[in-house]
Amino acid sequence: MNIPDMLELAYFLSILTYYIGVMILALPIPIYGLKRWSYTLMKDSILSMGLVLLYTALIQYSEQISSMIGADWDSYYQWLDSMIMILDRQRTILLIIYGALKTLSMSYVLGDLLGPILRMISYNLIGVYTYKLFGFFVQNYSTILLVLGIFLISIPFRIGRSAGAWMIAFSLVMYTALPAMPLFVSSFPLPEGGWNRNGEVLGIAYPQVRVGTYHTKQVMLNGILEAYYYNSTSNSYELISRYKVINGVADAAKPDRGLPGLTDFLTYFIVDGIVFSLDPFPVSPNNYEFENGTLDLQLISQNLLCALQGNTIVYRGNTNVLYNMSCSVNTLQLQLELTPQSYIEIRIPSTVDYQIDYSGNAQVESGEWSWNTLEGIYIRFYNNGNFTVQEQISLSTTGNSQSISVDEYYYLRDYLGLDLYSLHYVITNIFFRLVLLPLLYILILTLIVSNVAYLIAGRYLGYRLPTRL
Amino acid sequence: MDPVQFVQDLTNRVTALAWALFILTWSIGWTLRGAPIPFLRIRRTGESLVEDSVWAAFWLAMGTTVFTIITYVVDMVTS
Repeated sequence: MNIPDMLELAYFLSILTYYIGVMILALPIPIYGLKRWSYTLMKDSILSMGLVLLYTALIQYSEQISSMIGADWDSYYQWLDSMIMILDRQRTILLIIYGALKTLSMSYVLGDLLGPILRMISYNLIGVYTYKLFGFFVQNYSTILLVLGIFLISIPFRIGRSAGAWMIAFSLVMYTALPAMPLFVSSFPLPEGGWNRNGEVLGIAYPQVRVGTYHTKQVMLNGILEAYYYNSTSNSYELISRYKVINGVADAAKPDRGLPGLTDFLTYFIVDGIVFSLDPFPVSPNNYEFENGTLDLQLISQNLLCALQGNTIVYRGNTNVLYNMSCSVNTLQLQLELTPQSYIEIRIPSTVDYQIDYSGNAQVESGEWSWNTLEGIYIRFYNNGNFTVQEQISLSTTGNSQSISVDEYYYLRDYLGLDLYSLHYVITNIFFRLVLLPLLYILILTLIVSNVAYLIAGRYLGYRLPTRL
Repeated sequence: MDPVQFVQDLTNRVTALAWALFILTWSIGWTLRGAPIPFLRIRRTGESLVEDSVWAAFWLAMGTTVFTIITYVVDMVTS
């Protein structure tokens, strides 16, 4: 049965109600209780007929009021879709973290932390999808509900009066006010947690990074490891992490540290004021099986030749420098062939005692340097001429490494803005905004529905809410 | 059977019945009122029956007129 048929039926039912009322009035039975029904039925029939005739007007009015308060079904769905997107993103990031955390020994602890949060996100998603479905229902079926309500109200003897009034009120109120839900929720601005970067694209891995040279897997140096990511949208390199390197190892294997697990990034090792780019350049995490327990990320510098005691370094200016070297913890024997426009430099912190001998036809320059908490001298052997020159250097050092101070920048906590230890707050915040506030709004609308139904049908429906104690 | 048709038939019957009941009630009412019985209560009942039946006739006539006008206007608007 379609809408016009239903309205026609409702119209004729209200006429029938009227005549039944008149018939009761005309009954030759002088019982007051019976006669009272006559005027009741006549009034009911006039109300239901009015509703039938005003059907189109009611729809028009609810649409007009809806647009007056700025409600719009398209923006309602867009709002919910954007929320679904945010939640999906967060779930993806958390699943990536979850996978990456399995490589850490403390994964079970964080599993306990992340498990409930992931479930919470699922509940949030269920909530948002429910609101989407509810919106779809109201948008598409409110006219049918309205007609059904009018039909029920037209049935004689008030059989469907309460249900009909409730349906009419529900249809009118929800159709008018439900799409204004984004306005309601956004009128309570709440602080949002991080999640601002596209962590699901960059991914997360928790490696121990070892910095080495061609000759050793791990240099005994204290320095800084910086990682950069090329952001193609802003066409610039962004710093994604800065970790302290202690004895050649940067510890990224902590829950709030990490490095990208899906996207290429560039790494630099900074020691004694010199910046060394590290191979592989860039690092492609896809080449490493981080998730299968391979926690070591071995990076090497091509230019760093040797690290001696007390943060002493020997490096070359470019890869054209050929050498023959024996390097140990505190001694160095070096034979060099310096091609034109190339150099080799030794940097020795002031806390280190050293003994150096050199011979050859390279030019020598020395001076002072300072970097971080360290300072010292440098000796540079260089070739400004046109022919290859040779040089022999022997160096021995004694001294302890100095600690350096680093303002560390964690990939997960600082770059991705994902503080694992305050995730509960972020998720609860989302739960409040996406589930509780809309629920409150729907509750308010339901109360309005109840009162509009009372206005239409003149009495409360079925049961009362226990608001009066 | 078409429910609209059914309701219309029912309405026609109810209308006819209402007119018939009006006449019956009116007659009974006058009969009771004019009866040579010295019971005031019965005569008053007769009076109220007459009154009710006259009102019923009025509302019947009124309803028929109004509904005809509405149907006519709605038909005019929809066509």
